[in-house]
Formats: sequence, C-alpha cells, structure tokens
Amino acid sequence: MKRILLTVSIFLTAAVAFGYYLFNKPHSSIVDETPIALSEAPALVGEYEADENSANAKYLGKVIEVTGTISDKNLDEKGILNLTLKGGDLAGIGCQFDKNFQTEALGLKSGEQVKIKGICTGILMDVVLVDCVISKESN
Amino acid sequence: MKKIILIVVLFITATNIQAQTKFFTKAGKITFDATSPSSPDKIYGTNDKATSVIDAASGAMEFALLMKAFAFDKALMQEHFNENYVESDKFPKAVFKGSITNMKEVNLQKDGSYPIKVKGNLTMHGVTKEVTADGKLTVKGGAIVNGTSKFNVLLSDFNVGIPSLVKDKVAPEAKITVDINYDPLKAS
Repeated sequence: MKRILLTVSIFLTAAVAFGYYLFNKPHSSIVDETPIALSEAPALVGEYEADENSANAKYLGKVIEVTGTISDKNLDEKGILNLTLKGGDLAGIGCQFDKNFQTEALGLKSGEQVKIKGICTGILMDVVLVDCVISKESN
Repeated sequence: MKKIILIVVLFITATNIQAQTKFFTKAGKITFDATSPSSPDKIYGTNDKATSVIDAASGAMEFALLMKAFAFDKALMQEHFNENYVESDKFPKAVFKGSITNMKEVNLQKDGSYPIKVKGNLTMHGVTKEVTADGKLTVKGGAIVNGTSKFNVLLSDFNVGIPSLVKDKVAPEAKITVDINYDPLKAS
C-alpha cells in the first residue's frame, strides 16, 4: 500500500513539475534549427507577390534561410536589431532579430550580403521574418 | 531673365507638389492584452512589425499586422494564441482601414499633440467589424511623427472562442494599444 502511494505521489509530482515546466518554457532560439527552405531575397519576395496564399502555405510559421543585400538597418527602442533585405521594387524582407543572438549582426552595414535564418510570418509591405539569427554555413 | 523666372517658378511648383501628406511606417508597435483579474499570468503580446499609412490630406489611415509576429513572454502562451485562439495559419493578418474623422482639427503647421477620433473596419480572424477609437497624433516640423491609441475589442465579436475551462482566466475583451512612429512617405 505504502509503495502504491509513493509511486502515485512521485508520478503526481513529476506531472506537476512537467506542467510547470511547459507553462514557463522559455522561447527556444532557432540557432540550431534546420531551415525548411533556402532562398534568395528577391526570389522569396517574388513568390509572395505572385501568390501570397501559396507562399504562406509553404513558409508561414516555418524557419527559412534567406540570402540578400542589406538595404536598411536600425535598432528599435528595445534594442532589437532590424535589417531589411532588398527584394523587388517596393517590397523587401524585414528581419527582426532574436535579441540574444544579434551581437554578430550589429556590425553589418547597408549594401553587405548576409545569410539570415528566421521564422516567416507572412507579408505586409515587406515579407516579415522574426526571431532572426545570422545563418552559419550549413555543413 | 525670363528663363530664370521660369526656373524659379518651376522649382517652387515642384517643391509644392512634393509637400508631404502621406506618412508611413513598417515598424509600428501594437500590443494585445487579454489578462483578466484571475489570469495566472499576464496574457500580453507585443508586435513591433506593424505597417501603417496616414494620408494627412484626407485623414484616411490604415494599419496591418501579422499575427505570428506577436511575441509573448511565454512560448506556450504564444503557441496557444496562434493555434487555438486567432488561428494564424488560416488568418495570418489583421487589417484596419478607416479614417481620422476630425483630421481638420489637426494643424500640420503647428507642432503639438492633437486628440483624434478614428473610425473604421477591423478585420481579424476572418471577421470584419466597425471599430471606433480615440487617439493622439503628434505633429512636429510640419509632419506627423507619432500616433497612439488605446481601444478594446470583444474577442467574441471576432469569433475568437475562449474554452469554458479557462473562461475566467482570459479576459473576454482584449485591450489593444497602438504606438506608431511615422516617417514621410517618399513619392515614388
């Protein structure tokens, strides 16, 4: 009897702890995630401009890697880095960085080429990627 | 001499045509707060990638945001927000199209902050509803530099259901705040 009680209480404690862990789970960075697609910035913007719904079906909420030329750079009031990559005539790709992983991107300048990994959230004026990190050469 | 006058006249008209009436941003800040008194934690998300355009000549204004660009402190909360509540895979955007109904009272030639009334249609989660809100426009150096507003949306108006199990943990009415710094829109 004691043993059953003990087992049950251990199980319950574990369940509560796991629940608590899930509830407070921090955001995981996408640094180690493999992107589902690799794209050039103008090509990605082109896909979105041609057919937003089918592009969303492919990319929305997914980690993608984009190579492009920086056209704009700024730090917002929370100190989060935002880079814009050149896309088409009007639209580009807005990349909002993960604040914990933006240090190496802070030194980048407009006109430079970068490879960025981020979560695609869709298109407004620009295609928007969030939680971005600089992509390491894939191995 | 005539030529010079002509050039001067042309120059003046050209600069007049370019006088700024449209202001925009790609980095507007919009927050969502559905914390209720008995919520175990703050249900609070921020979105720093909203776009917005104001046409000062007509008072027309628009803003749009991507649901998945809302960031919550807790990963699980963000997941629930996207998957169970606003279904952002199906409805990735929220769009507001409307106008500042008292734009005439905003004087772009005089720096200051002006109370405004905004009325328009908000489309979210596949539902379009009329929304009215009070706000504030800040004018500096002949330009609109900032706009803020606070308003509430009843989640049930937009078919965002709250499961009965957590009925008292999520506020039925979400508080939305808008805080947008505007730049002049360059004529293209």
